Amino acid sequence: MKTITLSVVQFNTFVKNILDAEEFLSGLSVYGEVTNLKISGGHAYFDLKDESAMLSCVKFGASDLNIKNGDLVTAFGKVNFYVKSGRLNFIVGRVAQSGLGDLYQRFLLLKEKLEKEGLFREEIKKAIPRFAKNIGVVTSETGAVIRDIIHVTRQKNPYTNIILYPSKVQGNLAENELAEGIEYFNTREDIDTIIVARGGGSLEDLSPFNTEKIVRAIYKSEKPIISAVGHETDFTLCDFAADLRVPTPSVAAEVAVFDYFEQIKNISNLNNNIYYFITKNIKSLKNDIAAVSTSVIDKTKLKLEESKAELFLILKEIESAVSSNLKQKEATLSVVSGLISKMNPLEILKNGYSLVEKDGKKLSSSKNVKVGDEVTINLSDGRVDAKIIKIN
Amino acid sequence: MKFEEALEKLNEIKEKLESKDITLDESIKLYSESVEYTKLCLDELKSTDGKIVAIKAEIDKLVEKPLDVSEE
Repeated sequence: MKTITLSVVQFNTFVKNILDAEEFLSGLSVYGEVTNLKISGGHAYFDLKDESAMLSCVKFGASDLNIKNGDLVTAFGKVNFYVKSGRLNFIVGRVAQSGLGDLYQRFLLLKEKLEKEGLFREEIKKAIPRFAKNIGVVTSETGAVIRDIIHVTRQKNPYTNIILYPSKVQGNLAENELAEGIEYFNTREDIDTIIVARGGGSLEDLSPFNTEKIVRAIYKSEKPIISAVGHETDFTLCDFAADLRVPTPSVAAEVAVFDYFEQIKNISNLNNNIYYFITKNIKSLKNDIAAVSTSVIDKTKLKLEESKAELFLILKEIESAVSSNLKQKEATLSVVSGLISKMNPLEILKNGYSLVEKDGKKLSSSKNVKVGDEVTINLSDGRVDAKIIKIN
Repeated sequence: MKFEEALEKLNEIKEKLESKDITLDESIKLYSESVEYTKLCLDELKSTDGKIVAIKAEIDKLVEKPLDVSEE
């Protein structure tokens, strides 16, 4: 049979006609996973895929479109074959979410499996060193991530060392390079902390950070790892496995690097405190010594005063004892001298008593005289001669 | 001794001196220790030189090469 030869436009038009004629193709639904989504000029361009095939789609007027890469959707529309380009696509009228994307499903299954193995446990997470000298970073050599990390680090500390292990952060080769970076830093004794980082992206873009390979590399790491992957709201398996997850690469640097200037101030303050307390102690000891010597002097003075007082009292007692003794003796003396003076013959004579003498001898009895005798009567102030006239 | 240890020692010395329950001899000994630990801390702080490098493969080994991330 003779083959027909057509021009390109003829061929394309022929194919278009066949497709347009097929009623079935003018309104049907296709189910698949959204990928390669791009919004341009107000229209949405994406592919729908499954494990074996991919279909190019376009939705004109994308303002009401609420889908993202990874979503599993049902798109209702019609086939369109462009004569000019010979390309076929599916013009979408409306889209409906039809459950979790396949990629997301796989993510959940893997997460569950690795979680069961205990790779995400809190207990095995290491503390992040407070004063790291050498920080290993696994990320792309170009782009904002490494720039941000360097910038934040330098603000806080001019002396911290940053060692970058350049790695792809998306695509099929990324998971190997990321794991290699983590392993490399584990061979270096000087590295204190590792940061694994990547900027925002779709679930597909982040997929290297959702692989078993990276989780196991983190698990095996003996050095602490900080994970800063994706947007603030993204959580990858890398985040779950890491010793610390932070929302952005800048925060990773904040956490990993210590403030040099703050530590200088800290040391200075400590020294000031130490100096203050030691001089305070010395002053206080000086005061103690002064207080003790004052106290000794005072006590001695006091003792001296007390002794003086005691002495004084004793002297006073002696004085009064002597004086009262004296008075007693004076009293006795005056009594005795009173008695004695009463015994004075002259006093006796003053009281009317007289001493009678006969022939020069004391006359003490009436028997020794007779009437007519001459006697002498001694009175206090003189003598009188008398004659006895009667004896009784 | 690492920075963190030396810093901790300085703190301990400060606290011991603060407590007042301490002899003059001990105070002086602690003071001279604090001078040593301060020197250690400052040496440690300056022990790195703030290098920024990337790991590159060179024939059969990996080496550090300076990294420049100025904006393109």
